[in-house]
Amino acid sequence: MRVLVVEDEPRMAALLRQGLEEDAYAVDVVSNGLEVLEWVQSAAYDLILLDIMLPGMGGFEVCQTLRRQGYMMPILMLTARDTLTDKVLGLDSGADDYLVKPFAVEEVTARLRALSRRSGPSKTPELVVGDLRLNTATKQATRGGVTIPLSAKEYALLETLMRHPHQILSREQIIEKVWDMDFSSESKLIEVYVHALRKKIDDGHEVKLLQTVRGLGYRISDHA
Amino acid sequence: MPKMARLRVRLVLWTVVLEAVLLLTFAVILLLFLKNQQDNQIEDTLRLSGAQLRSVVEIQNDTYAVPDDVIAQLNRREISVWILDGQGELHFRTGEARNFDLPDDLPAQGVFRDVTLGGEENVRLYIVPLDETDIVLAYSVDDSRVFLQQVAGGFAIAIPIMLLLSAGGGLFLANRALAPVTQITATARRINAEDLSRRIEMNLPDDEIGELAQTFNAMLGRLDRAFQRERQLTTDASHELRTPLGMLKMQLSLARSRPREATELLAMMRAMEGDVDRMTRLVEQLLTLARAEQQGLMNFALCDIGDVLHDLRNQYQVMLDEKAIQLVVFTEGDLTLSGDADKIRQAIANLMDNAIKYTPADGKIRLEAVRQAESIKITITDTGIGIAAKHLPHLFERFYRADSARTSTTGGFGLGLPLTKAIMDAHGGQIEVHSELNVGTTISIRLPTSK
Repeated sequence: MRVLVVEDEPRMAALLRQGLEEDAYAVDVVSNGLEVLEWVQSAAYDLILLDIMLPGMGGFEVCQTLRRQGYMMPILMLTARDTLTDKVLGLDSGADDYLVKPFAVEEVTARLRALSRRSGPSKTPELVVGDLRLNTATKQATRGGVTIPLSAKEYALLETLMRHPHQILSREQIIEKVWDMDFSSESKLIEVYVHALRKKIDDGHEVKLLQTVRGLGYRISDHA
Repeated sequence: MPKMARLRVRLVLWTVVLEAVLLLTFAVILLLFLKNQQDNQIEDTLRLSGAQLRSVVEIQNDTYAVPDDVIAQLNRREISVWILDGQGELHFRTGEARNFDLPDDLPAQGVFRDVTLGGEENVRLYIVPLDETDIVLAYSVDDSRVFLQQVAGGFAIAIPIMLLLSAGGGLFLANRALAPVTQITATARRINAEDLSRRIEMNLPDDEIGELAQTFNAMLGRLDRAFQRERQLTTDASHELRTPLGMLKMQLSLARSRPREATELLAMMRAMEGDVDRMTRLVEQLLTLARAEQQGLMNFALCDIGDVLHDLRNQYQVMLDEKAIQLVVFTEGDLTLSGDADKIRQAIANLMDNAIKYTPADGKIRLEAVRQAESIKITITDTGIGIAAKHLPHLFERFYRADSARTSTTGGFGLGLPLTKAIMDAHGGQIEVHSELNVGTTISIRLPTSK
């Protein structure tokens, strides 16, 4: 899952990045409202964390502009003000939810999970393909009831694939969801992670779930 | 509005009471005057008639002849006459005297006395002597008494009517005069701390009530500004505290969200401690500012500004050397004044902080105090980066920061210059700022010596 954090307070932005990356999100940070409109064109963000008080263009306006331009990803507003008008303004300008500062990192990640559930087909935090289960809240993967320990990036890779079961995802599509802007798409790192993940989920099982489709990409499926 | 009603009723009551006293006094004086008039008239008539009779009565033996025309005249005047000889024998009577006998005790000659004849007729008796005889004259006082009673009766009816009318008129006038007061009260009742923008909007004449309303409006204006300032300060202070609080909460939740290495935790704690320090500084500065704005908390004593400047030079010497900034301190004349030396040092120190912060290496700062006629002029001039003209009007606003509006988690809160201004205000001083970008800034303070 790829998140765009829009926050002009550099230390706060850094803390949000750390919290989200530790929760297996790919995170990009911008500090200016106007920059948001450029960044959303360059990557398919699944979620946006938007501060209200921003230089360049205010949070409400950014939100309205994104919606007008047809961007439908969930937007979580971050606000220091907790007046009723701010909440109403935020929601009316197209945000899906808001968080009043100060907040704990778990609140942010829980809201983001809730928002992605709301926009996706599944209403539970669990993704299932065959006997492979992935709990997006606890970040726990099990196959046949046996827990599989995963690193943050492995989890992000698995989640991306399991959100589109049986579909082939290209290298670029995967990179876009799992890595942030600093990652080069030429990197061979994705093969390394796929290899490691395949080892963890398919070794010792007769049905191989993580499949490589030559020339196209990868998919997760219990169909042959 | 029971209080207003009471004032109104009191006004009317006082008017009525005062008027009643005046009218009654007037009535009594008038009645006394009329009675006096009547008495004089009666007595003049009696005296005149007596004198006339003395000159016309002819005494022949025991016969007393009064000419007919005189009798007719006496009758016309309604004067009754008895003529008695030395033995008290009645010899002549005319008018009403024919129906009544004289009482036994007659007044002395030349003295008036009122008696009742036959139990029904009230008359005034007057005796004039004629040789051995007494001429007794009587004139009815009933007419005069009736007249006076009628006048008094007229007053008895007229005075209450006049009092009633004036009570009505008084109430009307009191209502008219107090109507603006009622409106002012109604407006004042609608005004509360949340809505001090209301004013008494009436077309009031230039009188006492109008002045009251104007004074009231002016007071509301001052209150409104004070409240707005306080509200703004609370809002700004909350916002300033919220940023480090938000950061603390985020860091704490991050720290405990997963198992971490001791070194990583230590680094996080150091960062959090920085946030706590920042909040502490903010709270302390707010307190200092609040105290500076309360003049009563200043310790006024005789102090020498020259000493203050030299103390500051010592205090900043290390910092100045580090940045290779040259400081020149110049003092001239008698620099003593009554003030709080610690607070003044703090005020100038805030200016020094800024001067050092915004002056690049190898720059110059000049700190100067010069005695003028009735004041001491303190000037701090730097060769720093200067302040853009658009910031100048806001420099002394609390939480106003000229550099990068609000993102700074390091650096000041925008409370230094407001504190300097508050301290100067408490000393009756004035601050002026002149600045040119990339040339430098000059801040002048004028402190009155007589304070």
